[in-house]
Amino acid sequence: MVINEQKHDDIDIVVLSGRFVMADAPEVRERLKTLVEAGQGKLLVNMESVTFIDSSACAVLISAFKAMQLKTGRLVLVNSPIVQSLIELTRLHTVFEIMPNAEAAIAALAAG
Amino acid sequence: MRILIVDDDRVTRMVIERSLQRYGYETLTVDNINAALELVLKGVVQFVITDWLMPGGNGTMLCEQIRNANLPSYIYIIIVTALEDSQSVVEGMDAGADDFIRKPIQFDELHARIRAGERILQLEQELQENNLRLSETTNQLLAANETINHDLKMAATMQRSLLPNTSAQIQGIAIDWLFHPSTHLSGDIFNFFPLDKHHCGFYIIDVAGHGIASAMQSFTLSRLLSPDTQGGNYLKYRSPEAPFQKIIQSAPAVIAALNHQFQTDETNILYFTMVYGVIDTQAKTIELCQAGHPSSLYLHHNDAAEFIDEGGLAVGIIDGVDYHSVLLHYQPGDRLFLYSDGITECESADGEMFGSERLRRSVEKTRGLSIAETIHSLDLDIRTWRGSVGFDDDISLLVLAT
Repeated sequence: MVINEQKHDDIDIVVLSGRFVMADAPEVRERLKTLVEAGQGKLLVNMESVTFIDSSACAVLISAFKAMQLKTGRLVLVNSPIVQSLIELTRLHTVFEIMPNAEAAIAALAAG
Repeated sequence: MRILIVDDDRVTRMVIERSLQRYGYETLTVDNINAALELVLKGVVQFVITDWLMPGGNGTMLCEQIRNANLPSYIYIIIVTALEDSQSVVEGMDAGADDFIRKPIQFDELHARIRAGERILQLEQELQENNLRLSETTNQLLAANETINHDLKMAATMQRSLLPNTSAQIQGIAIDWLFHPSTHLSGDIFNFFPLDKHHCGFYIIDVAGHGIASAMQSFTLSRLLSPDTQGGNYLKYRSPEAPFQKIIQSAPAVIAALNHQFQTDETNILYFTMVYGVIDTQAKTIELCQAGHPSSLYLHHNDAAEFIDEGGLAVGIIDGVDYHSVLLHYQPGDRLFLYSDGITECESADGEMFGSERLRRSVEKTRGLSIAETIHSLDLDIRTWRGSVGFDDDISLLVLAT
């Protein structure tokens, strides 16, 4: 998978693409952890180009979500349809803040 | 360095020997190739300067014999030939000589050629040392790998021993299952056990990820979810009032307790999905609670297979969330299928997932089969879908037959 970091004002954006599975989990976990710790409490994980996500990857997202809650920040996800359906299987969509696209996510984070 | 000089002419031997000694080399001299070969085979020298034409065998033979001996160290050979004889140089080098020098010998040239040979031998020695270190490291790695594999196999055997016995029914309910860890160990675990005289419990758990960390969590959960421990536990508690009977926990209460105790944090991020159910074999009901797990499939004995979709969040994500159960009234011949997402997300060679609808059709196909045949049929469908490669994720499926 490819991990790409961007910044939009005080919003940190991580764009993931390809398959997000166990082998990628440690690196993404470390990157998100660093961004949650150093950032302004506004993090967008864009998975529009992610083609598959497994439970290890979900665990990394939850870990980042919980860390962000601790510092009363926001973690927003943008999902490809396949990621959305796999997240819905474990009902994690009831936990995450999910936006339909990157523009909406950035607008939401900028407003709040 | 020690150099062996091979020449049948005594004067030539002496001249070369003196010149080499002047350059600081140790020398040995012999007048025929048999004596030379003997010294080389003994390992006394690694550097040979040999005349080309000698009675009793020429330099070609010596080169060939040395090369054929397959000695542990490389022997560097310089042949000495007459100025006009270019054919012997070709023959000599083809036979395994490394370099040559013409007669009459220019000693500063010979010295330069010896130094070049020393560099080659030095490289050869370093190469040999590196090879030795590499093969030592390889042996250590192989040994370590063998130890790890042995440990994993033992752990895998232990894990299998935690799975339910398929031969005995509990209160008239039969069980069978399939279990394919993606590596030695699985993050999936399941069980089926009596809770009291007319209740039995069952669960399936899939710890996030797969491999050792997930398996360790699944071992822990398997031990905790055992009805046999004395006193209270997750599955039963002792009533605070007389006659202090053990009371069976409701399915949502079991999952809520696990959710409270197994909250993920910064160091342990492995949440798990599960289904827990309590069968009342007198009232003929199944109380089923699902937590982030793929929907169980219920095959009615006289009606189509349907998914049981009601369920809550996976376990360990948010403390204090509510879990609810559904109550199923079963009739003899009904079957309940629980499975991990390793099945529905199992990809074919083209990257297409097996999916829940294909699973439903596979389950529907098993109507009328014995439960052993049912498991066999489902196993075959999934393996055929997957093709010849191994599974990416742990696979487990169990069927309960009323």
